[in-house]
Amino acid sequence: MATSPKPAAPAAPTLDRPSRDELMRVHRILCSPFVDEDLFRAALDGGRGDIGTVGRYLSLPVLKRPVLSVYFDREFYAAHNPEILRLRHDPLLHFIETGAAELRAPHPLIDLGYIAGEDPAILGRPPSIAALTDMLDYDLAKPSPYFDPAWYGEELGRDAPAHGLLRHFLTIGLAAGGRPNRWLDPRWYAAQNDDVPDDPYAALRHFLTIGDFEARAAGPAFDGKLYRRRYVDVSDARVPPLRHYLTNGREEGRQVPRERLAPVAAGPATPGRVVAVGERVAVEPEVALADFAAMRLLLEEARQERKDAVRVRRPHVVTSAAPLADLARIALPAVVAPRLSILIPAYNELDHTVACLLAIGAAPPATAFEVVLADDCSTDPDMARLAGVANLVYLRQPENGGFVRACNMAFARCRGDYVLLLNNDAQPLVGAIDRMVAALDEDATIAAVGPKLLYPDGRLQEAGCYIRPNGESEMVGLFADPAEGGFCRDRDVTYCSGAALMLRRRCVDGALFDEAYAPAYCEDADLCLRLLAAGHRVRYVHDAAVVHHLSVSTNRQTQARKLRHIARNQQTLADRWGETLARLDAIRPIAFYLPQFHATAENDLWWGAGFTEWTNVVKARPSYEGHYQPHLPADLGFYDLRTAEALTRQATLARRYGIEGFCVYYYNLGGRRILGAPLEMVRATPAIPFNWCLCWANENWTKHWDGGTREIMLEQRYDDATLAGILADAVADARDPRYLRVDGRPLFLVYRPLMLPDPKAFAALARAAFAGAGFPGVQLVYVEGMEAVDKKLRPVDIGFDACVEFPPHGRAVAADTSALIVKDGWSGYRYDYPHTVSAFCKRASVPYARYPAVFPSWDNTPRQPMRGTSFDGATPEAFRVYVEEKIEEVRRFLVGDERLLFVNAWNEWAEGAHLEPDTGFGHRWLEAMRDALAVARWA
Amino acid sequence: MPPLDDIAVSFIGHPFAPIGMGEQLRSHLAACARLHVEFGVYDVFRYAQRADPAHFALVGERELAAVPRGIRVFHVNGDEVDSVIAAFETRGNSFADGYNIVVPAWELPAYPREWAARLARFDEVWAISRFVQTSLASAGVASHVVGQSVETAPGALLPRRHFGIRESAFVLLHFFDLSSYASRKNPSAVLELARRLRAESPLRDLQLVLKVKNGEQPAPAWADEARRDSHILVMDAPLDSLGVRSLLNACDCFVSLHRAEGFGRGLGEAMALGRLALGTFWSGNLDFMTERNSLAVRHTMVKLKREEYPHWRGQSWAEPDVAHACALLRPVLNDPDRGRAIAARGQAEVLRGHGDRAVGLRIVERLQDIAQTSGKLTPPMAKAPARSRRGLAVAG
Repeated sequence: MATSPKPAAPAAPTLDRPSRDELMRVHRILCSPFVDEDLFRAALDGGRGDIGTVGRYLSLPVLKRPVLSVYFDREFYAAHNPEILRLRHDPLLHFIETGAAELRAPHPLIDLGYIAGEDPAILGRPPSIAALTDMLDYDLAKPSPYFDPAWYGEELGRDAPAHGLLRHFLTIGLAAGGRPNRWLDPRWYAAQNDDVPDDPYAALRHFLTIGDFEARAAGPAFDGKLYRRRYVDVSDARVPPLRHYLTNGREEGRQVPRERLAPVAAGPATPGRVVAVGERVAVEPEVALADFAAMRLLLEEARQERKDAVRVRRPHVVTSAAPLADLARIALPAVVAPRLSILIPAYNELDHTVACLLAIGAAPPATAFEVVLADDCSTDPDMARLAGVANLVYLRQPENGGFVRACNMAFARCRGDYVLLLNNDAQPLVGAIDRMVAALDEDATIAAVGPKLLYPDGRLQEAGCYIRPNGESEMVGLFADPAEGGFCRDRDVTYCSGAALMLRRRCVDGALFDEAYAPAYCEDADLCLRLLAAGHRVRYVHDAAVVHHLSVSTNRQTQARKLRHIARNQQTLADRWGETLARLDAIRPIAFYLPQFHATAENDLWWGAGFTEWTNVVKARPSYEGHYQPHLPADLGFYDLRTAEALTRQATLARRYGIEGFCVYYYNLGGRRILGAPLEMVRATPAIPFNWCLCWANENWTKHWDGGTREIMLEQRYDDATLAGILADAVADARDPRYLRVDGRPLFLVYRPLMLPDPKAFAALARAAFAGAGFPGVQLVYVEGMEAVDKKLRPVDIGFDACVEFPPHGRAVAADTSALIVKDGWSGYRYDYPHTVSAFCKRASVPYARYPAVFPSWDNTPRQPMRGTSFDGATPEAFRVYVEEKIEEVRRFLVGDERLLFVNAWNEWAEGAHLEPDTGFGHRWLEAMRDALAVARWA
Repeated sequence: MPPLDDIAVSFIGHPFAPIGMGEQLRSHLAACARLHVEFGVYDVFRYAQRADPAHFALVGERELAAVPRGIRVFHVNGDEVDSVIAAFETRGNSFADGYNIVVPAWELPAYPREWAARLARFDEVWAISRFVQTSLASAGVASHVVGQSVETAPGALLPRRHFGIRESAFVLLHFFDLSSYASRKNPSAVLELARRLRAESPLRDLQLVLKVKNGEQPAPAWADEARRDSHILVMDAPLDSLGVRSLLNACDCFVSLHRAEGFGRGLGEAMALGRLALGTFWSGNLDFMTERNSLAVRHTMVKLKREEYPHWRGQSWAEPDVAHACALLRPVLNDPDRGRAIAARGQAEVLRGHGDRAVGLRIVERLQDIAQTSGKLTPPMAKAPARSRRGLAVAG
C-alpha cells in the first residue's frame, strides 16, 4: 500500500514535473532567511520571487542541486540523516522545514543540540530557522564548541567583519588558512594524516566527524591521545577529546597536552632558564623589572575586568527639579525630645538639600528625631528659605567657615543621644537610619557606625575605610558591586566617611571635628581615630544603604587645590596619629610549616631507614626544559628538626624577614601525636624565638602523599578519645607564650574541615576545651584547600570563626605555553604562576573572615617524578607584587589582630613551596616578602 | 595676587646628573609632583648623560627649552652661581625676569663669604637642612628650610645576589667618593669600625660593602687593602637610580661616620627603605635622625686642618667616636629584633617628616607665600606667554 507522507514531513519528491502546490511549498521554504539570496541568484539565475527558479531547482536531481546556504553541508546532513536520501527528500528543504526544529545539525560547525544546550531560548521555542539564521549572522552565540567567534574575530583583528564571523570563516577565512579555534588547525591536520584530504574544509569536516572521535591531534597545540591518557574520565567516556576540552576541560582548568608535538610546529617556548643543579638562578635587572611590571599589569587588568563586569541596579533616589516649590512638601515631624539628631551641613546646592530633606521626610526613621541644617553662609539667597521649613532646625553661619566649622557649630546644638552626620548630597535609603540606630543600641562599645555608601548609579562607593600609616585612606569597595560578599557583613573598621556617620554623642569629647582640618578633609578620619584611641569601636553596617553623590560639594574648586588640601590634612593626620595608624595597620605574616624533617620509626619502617622529605627532594630532576629542579637547601642545609640549633636558625631567619610565626602541621594518627619532636624541642627551649600555632592535618597517611584512601599507612581517627587527645595537645601548646593568638584566643586550624564527621560538634568540643583551660576562647580556622575550596563554606556554619586561603589549591591556571619534555614518559601538569596569582587576586570577597594567603612557588616533582605539578613563571618579583596585593586585601577586610597573612609555605620542600633559601633563588623570596612588608609600613 | 596654579614654577640645575645636587633637585621634583604642582625643569649645562630611566620618569615631558617668568628654583652651589647664570642668559633666558630662588648645598658650619655674596643675586635662599640654614646665617644669608625628600621611587628592587652581597650576612653599607675630599665622609673610620667588630667576634657573619664613586681615580692604599679583604665588598661600578635604591635596600645598616654632612641623603634614604642608620650625630642629618630612630654616634668637635676641605679656615667638624659606634652596633648584632624596631621607627619618622608629601607641603607653603607677597609676580609676569606653550598652566 502506498503511504502518503505525514502532513509535517516533506512531500515525496519526484523527478516528474512538480505540482503547483509542490512548487509553492518549495518556494515558501526557499524564501527562508536561511537561504542565501546571492547564492540563490548565482545558481538559479533569478530571484526567489520568480517561481521559475524554483522549478529549475526542483528539476535537478537531489544531489546535483546547488547548495543555497553557506551554513549547510548537504553531504554532512545526508550522512547524519540517512533516511532522508533513502526517502529521496531534498536535505536542504528537509532541514529548513523540519530538521531545524528537531535540532538536527546542518553543518559540522553548526551544532543545534549544543546551541540549545547552552541557551535554550536562543533558537526560540520551538526552535525556528529565522532565530538560527539571526544567531549565526550576528554571532549571538557559539554555533559549535569547535567554532569560537570571539577568538576568530580577535585573530582577524582589523579585518574582522562587523558581524557574521562564521560566514566569514566558511567563505573566506578557512581557505586563507584561518582556524575555527585556537587548537584546531585543518591544514596541519591534513598534512599529518594521509587519509585526510588536503582541502581545508574537507580536512576540517574529517576532524569533526572522524578525527576527534579517534583522538587524533587537532593541531600542534592539541593532542587528543595525550589528553585521553591524562584524563581517565575522558578516556572512559569515549568523548572526543578536543570537544571535551572545549566544552568542559578548559573551564575545569585541565591541561592541554601537546608537549611532544610542540617542537614540530613553532619550536618550544622555554618556561624558565636552565639552571645546573646547585647553581644560582641568574639575576638580570631587565628581566626582574619586566617580571614585576608584568605581574602588576596582569593584576591591573584583572581589576579593570572586575570593575567593568559590575552590573548594578540604580537605587530609587529622590530628586528635586523645583526645589523652591518642593520646600512645602518637606514633611518633618515635630519632636520634643529627639533621640537622634540628623545634622546636615550645606553650602548652596538647594536642590540636593531639598531632595535630602524630602527623602528623610518621605521615609522617616522610627526613632524620634530632629533635623539640624547647618548652612555655611551660602551665597544662594534661596537657601535662607529653608528657615521656613516646619520643624527643621535651620542654623546659618555668619560667615563661610568651611565644612568643619559649620558642623561643629551645629553639633553643639544637637540634642539627640545619637547624631547622624549626613551630607546634603546624600540620601538614606529606606530603613538605613533605623538600622544604624539599632547597631548603636545593640552594642554600647560602638561609638560610631557608617552605612554602605552607594553612587546614584548603584555602584558601591564605600563599605568602611582604612587608613595607611602615611595618613592616606582608601574607601573599601570603591566602584564594586555592593552585593559582593565582603561588603555584606558588618565589621569593625578604622573609620567611615563623614558623608553619613552616626555617632554616639556622649563619646565625642569636646568639639565634633578638629579645626586643624578646616576647611575640610580627613576630619572624619581624625574623629574616628579619636574614638578608637579612647577605646571605642567604629563599625560598618552593611544593611544600611545611603546614596551619596560624592564630590558634588567640592567639584567647583580646582582639583589641584583640593588635592593639596587633602595632602596637607593627611600630613596632619599622620603627624598626629602616626604610631596609632602603624599599630592599626600592622600585619602578621604566618607561614605554614612542615615538621617532617626528621627520621621517625614509622617512616623508617615504610620508606627505609633515615627517610625524611630530603630523601625525595634531592632526587627530583627537571621534567621539561627550563624546569627548575631539584630545589636544594642553601643557608639552613639539610637540617634535622629535632635539634634546637635548626629550629633557632629557622626562627631567626623568619623574623629577620618579618615572618611573625609558623603554622605548624599537627598530626594525630592511630590515636597518637606524630612528628611532634620539633615542637617538643621548641616547648622545652624558651630561648628559641619560634612563634607558632597548630594546623591539624586531619588526613590519612598514604603511600601516595595525597591524604586519600588508597594504601593507607596510618588512619585519621575521629573517635572521642582521639579528639580529646588532640585538643589536649592543642591546649598544652597554646599555653606557651610564643603561641599565636587573635585577641587573646589561640589560633587553631583544621586542614580538612569537611573530613570531620561532625565539624560543629568538634568546634563545640574545642571551645569547651580551651575555655576550660582558662583561655578567652579559641580562634577556629579552616583551611580552604581540597574539598573545601569554592564551597563558599561559611565558617559559622561549621562552628568555626574564619578560614584561610590555601593557594595554589583551587585556582590554578594551566600554562598555555609549550615545553620540551626532557623526562621520558613524563605526563605531569604545568601551571602558570602569574595567571594563578591573578586568579587568586580577583576572587570575589566573602561575607566572613577569610585570611588571605600567598605562595612563592609550587612543584611537587620530588613526590611525583613522572606526574608532578609545577608552576612556571614563579619569580620573586611576581611574588612581591602578589604579597603587596594580598596585603591590600587584608587591609580591606580584616582589622586588628585578625590582620593575618599566611604563606604557603615556609618549608614544603617536596612541594617546591618554601621561603627557606635554596641554591637557585637564595634569600630572594624572603627579600620579596620583606620588601612588600616594608612598602606597607608607610604606603 | 595670582593664585599658585597661575604661576610658572621652574626647577633649574642638573636634573640628569648622578650627583648630590641632581638628587636634591629631583627630590624636589618628586615632592612637587606629589603635591600636584605643575612645574618645568631646565638643564642648565646639559653635560650629564641621560641614561637613567628614573630621571626620565621624573623630568619627562616637563623639560623646558626656555625658562618662563614666574618662580625659578635653582639647585646650584655657591661656587657655580656665576657660571650658571651666565649659561642661563646665554641660552636666551632672562634671569631678571623672574623670582629666583637658590638651593645651595654646603657641609661646614660657616658658609663661605665669597659665595654668600653670589647668593645675593637671588631673591630667596632655601636651605636643605637646619644645619645649612645656620651655616648660611653665619655668612649673613637668611634662608627658609625646605629640606629635601628621601622617599625613594616605588617598584621593583634588585636582590643582594645581584650585587654579590652575602645574603646571610649582617651588612654594613658605606658610600664615599674618591674624587672628593675623602676625609669628610671618613671611610677609614668605617673600616676601623668593621675591623673592631670583627676582632670582637671573628666568626660573626658580618660584611662591609663600600660603594665607591669615581672608582677610576687612583685609590688610596687603604682602599686597595680593603679590596683584598674577603669580608669587604668594594663596589666601584657606577649605579643608576634603581641600583642605588636596591643597594641601600640590600644592607642591614647604612653607616656614615661623616665629619660633616649638608643633609645626609644616604642615611635618610636607607631609613626611608626601612634600614637601620648609624651616623655621626652631627650636622645636616640631625634633621631626621634621633637617638630613638637610628644609631646616633657620639663625637667631639675638632678644628679642620689645612686643606682638609675647601674654605677650611676657622671651621670645625665632628670626629666620630668609633668605640661608641661599636657599642651601638653590638646590641643590634646580638639582638636583630632591636635593630629592626629602631629601623621601623626611623622609616616612619623620616618619611613623615622628609617624604615627598612633607617636603612638597613645605615647598608649596613657600611658593604660596611668594605668590601672595612678591611684587615680582604681579601680572603681567604671572601671565607669561611662554607658559602656555610649555603646558605649565593649570586648568582653573
